[in-house]
Amino acid sequence: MIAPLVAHALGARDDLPIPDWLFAWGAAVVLIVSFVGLSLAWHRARLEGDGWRPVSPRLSRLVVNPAAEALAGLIGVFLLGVVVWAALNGTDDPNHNFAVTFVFVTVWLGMVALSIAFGDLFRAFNPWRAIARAVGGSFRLVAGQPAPTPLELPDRVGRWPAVGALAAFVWFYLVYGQAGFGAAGLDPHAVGVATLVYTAYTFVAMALFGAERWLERGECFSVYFGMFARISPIEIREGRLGLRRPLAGLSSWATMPGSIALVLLAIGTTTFDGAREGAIQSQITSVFDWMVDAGVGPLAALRLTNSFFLVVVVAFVAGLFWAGLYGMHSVKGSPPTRRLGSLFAHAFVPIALGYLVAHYFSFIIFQGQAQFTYLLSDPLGDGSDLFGTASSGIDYTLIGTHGIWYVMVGSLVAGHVLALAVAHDRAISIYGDSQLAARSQYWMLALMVGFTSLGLFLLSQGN
Amino acid sequence: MQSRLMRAAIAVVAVIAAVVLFVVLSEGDETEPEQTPPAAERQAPEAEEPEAEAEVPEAEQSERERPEREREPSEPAIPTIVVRDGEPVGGVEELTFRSGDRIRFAIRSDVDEEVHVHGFDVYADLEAGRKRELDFPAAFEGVFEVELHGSGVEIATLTVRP
Repeated sequence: MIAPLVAHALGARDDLPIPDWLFAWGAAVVLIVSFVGLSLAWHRARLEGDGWRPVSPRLSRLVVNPAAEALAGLIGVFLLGVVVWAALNGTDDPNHNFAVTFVFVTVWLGMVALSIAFGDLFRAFNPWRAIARAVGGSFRLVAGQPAPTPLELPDRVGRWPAVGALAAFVWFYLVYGQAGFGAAGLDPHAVGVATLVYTAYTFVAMALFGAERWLERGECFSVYFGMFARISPIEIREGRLGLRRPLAGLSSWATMPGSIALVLLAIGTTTFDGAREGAIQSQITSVFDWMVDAGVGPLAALRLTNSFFLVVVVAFVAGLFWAGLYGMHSVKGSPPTRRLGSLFAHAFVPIALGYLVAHYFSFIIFQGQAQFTYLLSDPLGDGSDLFGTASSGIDYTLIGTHGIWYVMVGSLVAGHVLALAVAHDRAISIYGDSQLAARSQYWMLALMVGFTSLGLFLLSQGN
Repeated sequence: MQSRLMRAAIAVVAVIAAVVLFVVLSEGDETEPEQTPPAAERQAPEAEEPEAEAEVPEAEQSERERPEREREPSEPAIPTIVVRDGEPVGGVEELTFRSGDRIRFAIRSDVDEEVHVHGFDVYADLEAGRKRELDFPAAFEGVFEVELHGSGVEIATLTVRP
């Protein structure tokens, strides 16, 4: 019997599962902070209306100006070009091709961290937005009017197009690119082709529906990084740099349809990636074996099995979410369950962040070193040494297992606390009466303890 | 007053739930090894399979974990991975070492190959039919693949524990 290999598509190192004692401590701390938090909770909504204030005009102009915007756009377009060039011309080995680590580590994970620290940076560097703006500007110059948009994207579609594109992206990363049977997982050539296809798709959609509208609802990276940027205290509003209370930007995030699906997809895919190498590994293996016995080719069987479990895990996460909200609905004076969903979805963004850090922290610490050492100097993996760093590798002694474990558990607990704070704030503004708010929050508390315990459980099962 | 009672009740329920959850999960841990053997001591049955040819009886394997330095470097009692028809006999071998110890194991392949230990980036040529021993320090922790460089087949999972 051929066993499916469960290995990261990229990188050479996996984390050890957290030991039972740390799992127990993590769970205990989660429960204690939850109840202490609830008893200390405030009685007046503090995060509704984010209190955005512009910084001094001079400082604002230093950051937000046409030259900086053009420069950031050019950098974005240049890097997009490097990705396609390296992917199509470089080595087949995903670990030695600049494109793969750049897309799936530096941008996909690194940009989340940058978005939280500095606000929506991706918007500035987004290559597709930069090109669309350049084209739109030229059109206006020549035609004397803004470019027409032949089709209108209805409001009720909301962020669903971005949800679809994001699902395709994570499927490509976690299922299609999954290593197995000696086949290189994330084939750089496939990454290059996918980048070109997505670029073409984005340009067509922006031309049809208008660039800004598509960036807000359909361009999945803008929408995904924009979600995390809501946590940041920094936001550019109407061309002016300003500051708001951290987390407060989340309060208005989930009003658009599709937002709930987006945050649940973010949590669900991280859960799947963690679970398949531990918690559900044996189930995956048995479904895979069953398919191979039924005559499906091994690679197809592996992809089908992983697709199936990806859907199951995302559905499980969504089910947990809706079950909690259904319980909350039973509190007197509650809005209907569906409405509760959009009212509270934003509180799960910090949970998604906690999951992301817990699962990928060591990956970005170690694989991120590859990006700035040998991949930078030898992007194609052909032996060149552009900046003299081609022979430096990854220093795996940078952080030990204990350090990684504490970051993992700490990030889950921190995400949990932030999520509770955001949800509590929203409950007060809905229920008015702080006693009813508290009662609705027991449900929310149970739900979030459930998610955080699930996260801890995944870490204890290996990931 | 009522809300206080309510909170206390919820606290009690939550603590009970946590205890139950923990007990259930730890039981889950104990039943699981049959499907996924994560540690060296748990995969003893595998090593004893007659066709596995891994020349490592259980006692020696668990002994290997601790008094590493006291033993002679020439001692043959190290785990041996046998590769036949390009696949590891008995499945992907689980090797576990402690951080700071020496990582020692041997591979015997029926074809010429090259072995690559990920992370440590140790490469070694394998000659068909001959046993090749690897010995290098466990300088850092984590879970790493040991693969045949030519075919890309994983033959062992190397775990370095703190």
